Amino acid sequence: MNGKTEHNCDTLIVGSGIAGMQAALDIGDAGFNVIMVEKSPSIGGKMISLSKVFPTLDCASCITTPKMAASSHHPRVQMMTYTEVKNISKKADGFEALLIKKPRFVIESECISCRKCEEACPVYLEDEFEYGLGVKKAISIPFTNAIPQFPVLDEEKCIRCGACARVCPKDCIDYLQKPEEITVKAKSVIIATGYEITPMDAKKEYGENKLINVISSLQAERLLAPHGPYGKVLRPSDGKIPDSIAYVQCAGSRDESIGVPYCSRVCCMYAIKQAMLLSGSLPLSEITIYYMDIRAFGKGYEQFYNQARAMGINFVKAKVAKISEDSQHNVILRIDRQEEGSKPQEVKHDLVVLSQGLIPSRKEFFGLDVKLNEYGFIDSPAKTFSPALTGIDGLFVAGVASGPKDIPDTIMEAGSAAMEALNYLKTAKIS
Amino acid sequence: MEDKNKKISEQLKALNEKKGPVNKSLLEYHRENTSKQKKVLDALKEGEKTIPEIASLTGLDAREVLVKIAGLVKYGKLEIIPAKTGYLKYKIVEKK
Ligand SMILES: Cc1cc2nc3c(=O)[nH]c(=O)nc-3n(C[C@H](O)[C@H](O)[C@H](O)COP(=O)(O)OP(=O)(O)OC[C@H]3O[C@@H](n4cnc5c(N)ncnc54)[C@H](O)[C@@H]3O)c2cc1C
Ligand code: SF4
Ligand code: SF4
Repeated sequence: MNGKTEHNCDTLIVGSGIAGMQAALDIGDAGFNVIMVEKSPSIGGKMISLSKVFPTLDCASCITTPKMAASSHHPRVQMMTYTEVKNISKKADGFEALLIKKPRFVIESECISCRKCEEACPVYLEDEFEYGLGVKKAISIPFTNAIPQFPVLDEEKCIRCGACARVCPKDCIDYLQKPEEITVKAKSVIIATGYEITPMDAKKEYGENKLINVISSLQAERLLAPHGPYGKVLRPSDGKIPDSIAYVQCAGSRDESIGVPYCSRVCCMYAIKQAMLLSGSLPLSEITIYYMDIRAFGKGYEQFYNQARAMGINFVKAKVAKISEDSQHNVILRIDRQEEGSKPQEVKHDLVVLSQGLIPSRKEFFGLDVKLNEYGFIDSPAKTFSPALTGIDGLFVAGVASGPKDIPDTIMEAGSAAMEALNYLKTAKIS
Repeated sequence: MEDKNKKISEQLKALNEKKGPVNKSLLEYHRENTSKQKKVLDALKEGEKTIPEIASLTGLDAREVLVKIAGLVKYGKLEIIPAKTGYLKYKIVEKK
């Protein structure tokens, strides 16, 4: 561990997804100092990896990048990336957080983001930004519009050939860099740690993540993104442009057996969005959504759903009982149509997307005695009127950390968390 | 330049002392990966091809060919020839 550093701020924000960034901008604009901590090498959260957003079909990266730039350049917002919050304790005068800044093995103050190191590196690896579909190098800048644009060296996969250091024009590769311990003293804290999707192997009947042409909904987002891993939607087993694509709804929600009995609120809508985008980019392909019921609850969502039907997307009311594959890796779905007298049926598709649910990204929140609901999301004692409250003075929550929601609701709640934090900073007796 | 190379070797030496030599299976994985990538590039020397064509020429699994192609396209060695159905074709980027 390298030396320890100490920082002070009015509000510490944990997580830099759209919730964290929005809260940081609102508090910074009001004249208070923010430290926004992100465990990944870039800010932006899940939203920066999405293709387009429902129901407007705006390009996700085009609307997220300006927020990322604004929060990284804001004079009162300090961002700490590749830094993980380990512990937060409540003190008489606020909070004290212990952070670990992971080594990038690059001297950030010197790096000019020229990517020469990445070009020179001979080691190709699976790319986590592409959710395993694409490829990166053992030293690489996480993605094109990452902020900050510093490369990260994967010390476990590096073969120590020295090529990156030899080509670096600023001599800023440091193979011996160590993690750094950081202490942050904050008057208030906002938790915006977001979500993960239910694991691909959550449901045994759905192939346990062993079927190559059954992909996750976030992988589908990357296939549809303008700079996606393959340059076009291709199926992973052989690079074929899929002629028939299916969505399996509630593949990780509304299911007691996997511990996710709730509706994840966004899966119906993102499946409809992806289906519409697919029918635009692969006009000759057939797209089917297997669903139990469609939950189009937000403003303009019902029209969006109707538009998808009008575009020729097949909506089949059926329960998918089992997923398997044939020798060519075509995916076989065993479906039970929700129609009287219908018998179980097997249907084949080139590519299948599981519409997984949203689950909390953490099991516990940094040692804080914060109340969680039965599914592990942070529970507000005043859900109806003040959803950002946590029951601990000075501690607030924003975004999916308090339950599944879409981007508009996340942004609204982040604004509410910022207002609560500002109110607290102005009225509470904290020095 | 000499100073730079000396500093790099010293750092790598210190790293090897601290962590022990690079894992053999990692080196093996890297060698295999490089050789498969070369097979894909060699297959494309004779002209543009689809993934199944490259797979049958090289004996590699089609899914592995796709992964190699994704890396080679990303790092500017191959370009994609668009198609509406079936399979895309790939060709080597001409050096200017
Ligand atoms: C496939 C898919 C498609 C979607 N499409 C849409 C759409 O089109 N329209 C729409 O409205 N919604 C969509 N959504 C929902 C949308 O993604 C969420 O509403 C939104 O991204 C939530 O943002 P967030 O900031 O709460 O969480 P996140 O984006 O998850 O951000 C949380 C951040 O916190 C960081 N973090 C976690 N733990 C720590 C720690 N200990 N220390 C530091 N940092 C930490 C994480 O790395 C992450 O960057 C989609 C969801 C999915 C799964
Ligand atoms: S070569 Fe050096 S300056 Fe350029 S991106 Fe890599 S570390 Fe930064
Ligand atoms: S030293 Fe490691 S990261 Fe650098 S070029 Fe070699 S393998 Fe890549």
